[in-house]
Amino acid sequence: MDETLVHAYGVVAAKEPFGSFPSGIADTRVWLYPVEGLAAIVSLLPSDGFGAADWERNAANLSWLESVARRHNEVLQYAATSAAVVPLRLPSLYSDLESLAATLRAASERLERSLRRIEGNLEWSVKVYRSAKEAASAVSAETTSGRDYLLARSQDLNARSTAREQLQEQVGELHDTLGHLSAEHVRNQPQDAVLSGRSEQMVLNGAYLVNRADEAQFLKLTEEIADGSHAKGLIVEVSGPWPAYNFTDADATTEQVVT
Amino acid sequence: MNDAERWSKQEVALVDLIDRVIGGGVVIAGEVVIGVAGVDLVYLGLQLVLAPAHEVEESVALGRRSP
Repeated sequence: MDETLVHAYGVVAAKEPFGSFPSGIADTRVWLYPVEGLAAIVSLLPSDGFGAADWERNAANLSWLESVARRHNEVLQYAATSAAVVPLRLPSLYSDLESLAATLRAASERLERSLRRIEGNLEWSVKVYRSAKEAASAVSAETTSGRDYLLARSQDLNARSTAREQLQEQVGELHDTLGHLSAEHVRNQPQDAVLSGRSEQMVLNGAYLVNRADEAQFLKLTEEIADGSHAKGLIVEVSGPWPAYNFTDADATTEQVVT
Repeated sequence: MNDAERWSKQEVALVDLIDRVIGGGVVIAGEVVIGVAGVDLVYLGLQLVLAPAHEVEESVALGRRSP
């Protein structure tokens, strides 16, 4: 028989009932592996294709990373529909079930704390972009003399600096307003424009841990904000619900940023 | 519409996958160590993928010609 290794998608409380999971990475069967009060969502992957060497070889291979990440996320999304689930960050590999069990036992307190933290909540993403039109320079190309140009440029820079401060303030307020309706909220680094393929500048990459009971209200608020921001040249985009990727690690995996 | 239905309708963008699945979640010291720096290897890989595109962007922003 070919060698396998264990891929762990996430961790749930052992008592949680689940139906049958969707297929995992490489179409493998996904199941629950209980360890005392916890259970890991796992599947067995062929070592040849998903081992350490494959991760090293494919670390810069976006299509390989995407196929793995997509399945990982699908399994977690399925689990999150019915229970609190702590997502594990990729790569999440164990040589066998015994080593996974030992790791879970060692981290059990931290994992149980994370489960309590996200119980009844799901994560929402709100991203705000500045429309390209708003970002364009106001300095006219028709300005003729060098002095006129420098004057106009200086005025333009001042205006831009003020506009930038106003924008920061606006976005900060928006983030706080959404935060009031959330159990927790965090502002992440803006996403990479090369990866997103967006020409507009991202000015907010916010994640919000929202109680299911407050979801409708939260979404209504995002709609109101989107409507109100349109005239200010801001594009608001909401996605979710997500498993609580941003609210399960005690270590700061994300940092507050000022753009 | 329940969660499962909502999710099946949701087309997850690559950038969001990278942001959350590789940038978020919990690390519980996997015993199979990937490279020297573990998770950082994937970040390093991503930087390698993205760097050339950023160099082009910067040279455009600075009005430079590509060498």
